[in-house]
Amino acid sequence: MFGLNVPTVYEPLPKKRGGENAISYLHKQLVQKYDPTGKRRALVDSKTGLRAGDVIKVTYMDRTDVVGRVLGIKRGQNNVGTNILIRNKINRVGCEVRIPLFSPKLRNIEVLYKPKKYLSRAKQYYIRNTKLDVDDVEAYVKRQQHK
Amino acid sequence: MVFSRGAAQITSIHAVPSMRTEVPVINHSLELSNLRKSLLNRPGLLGIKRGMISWFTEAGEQFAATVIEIDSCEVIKQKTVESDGYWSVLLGQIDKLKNVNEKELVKFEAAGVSPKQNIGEFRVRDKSGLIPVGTELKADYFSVGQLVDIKAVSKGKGFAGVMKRHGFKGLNASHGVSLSHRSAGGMGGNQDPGRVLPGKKMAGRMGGRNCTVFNNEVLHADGEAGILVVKGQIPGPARGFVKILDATKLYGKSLNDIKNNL
Repeated sequence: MFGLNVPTVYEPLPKKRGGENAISYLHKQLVQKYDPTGKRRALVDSKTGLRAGDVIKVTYMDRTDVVGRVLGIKRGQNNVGTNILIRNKINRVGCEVRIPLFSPKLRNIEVLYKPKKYLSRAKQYYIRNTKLDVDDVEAYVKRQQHK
Repeated sequence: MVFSRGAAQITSIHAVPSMRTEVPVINHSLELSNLRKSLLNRPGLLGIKRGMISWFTEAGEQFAATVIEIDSCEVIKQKTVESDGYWSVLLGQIDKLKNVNEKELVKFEAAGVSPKQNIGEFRVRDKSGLIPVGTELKADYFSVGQLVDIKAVSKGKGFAGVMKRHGFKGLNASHGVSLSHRSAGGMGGNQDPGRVLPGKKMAGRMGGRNCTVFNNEVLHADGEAGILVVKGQIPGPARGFVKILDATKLYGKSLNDIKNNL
């Protein structure tokens, strides 16, 4: 035990961020900054959002766009690094693009087509170069809409 | 008129007159080493590595960044030339209220701050770099866009072979090589020199050593929330103790440099 002269212990400083984890605080702040309306977050909601198998069209700020079928969504709880992997066939060559969901380069993400029956698994990497693989996605969507 | 008569004197040419010689300058002394040492004009910060995130710039570029938490980083002590022979600032971070012994408590009482978990020392160039005891340093101490160095202890890799530890290529996968595909190969000559030369790179403990990364850009500094984001990777695990300094290669100068306008 201490002797006669007990040292004074000063009060600690007030906790920053109300004691919240620094990483999750920053993620929330950044997601709010890049997605103030919550539209993009709704897109990757695990219950109601996109699913592997959906066809999306991503438009960039310079008005160029990419169309592809979703192979998988890499997501975390309120994570700015969330991204969507889409696959398409261009001149019969398989092409994949990873779309960073909260990138300020993106203008819009539009859902073109949702299939009636989905393939199994949340990450459908196994469809590559099999009979389940995507064909020219734009042509496929047109065919489905004409039916 | 005053008549003075002295004896005739001639100084012998062999006589050594008494001379006052200057005290020789000792280069290996603390005073001169203080002049030579390349230092910063202010201390750095203590922080905790919290993990990595994706970072987007205004232009839409994306790259990896590390989040460092600056949590109640306060000045505990100043060291001066008079008392310690050099100028430095002692900082402490993270309030620690349990399991602090009386000896430690006395130090924190003297500083007027609550007991801290980690303590770090930063040498500064001269008196102007000292910060008053008890001051809290926040993350916005660094400005966005400036370069910083980060010091930490790297992750321990255990006993590692030469391929992992020194980037050796190893031996062939085939052509008669058996059971030694990841070995180092030759260790040196044969009869001459008849020994392995000192400093030969061999297998051994890897990591767990002090490591500095230089010139990382500061991307975000939020003093209120205590968050600092730097571009790229920094050594050590998440929850590891790190020291952050202004980039020494850019801002580091010795007193001699300043005197010579370098």
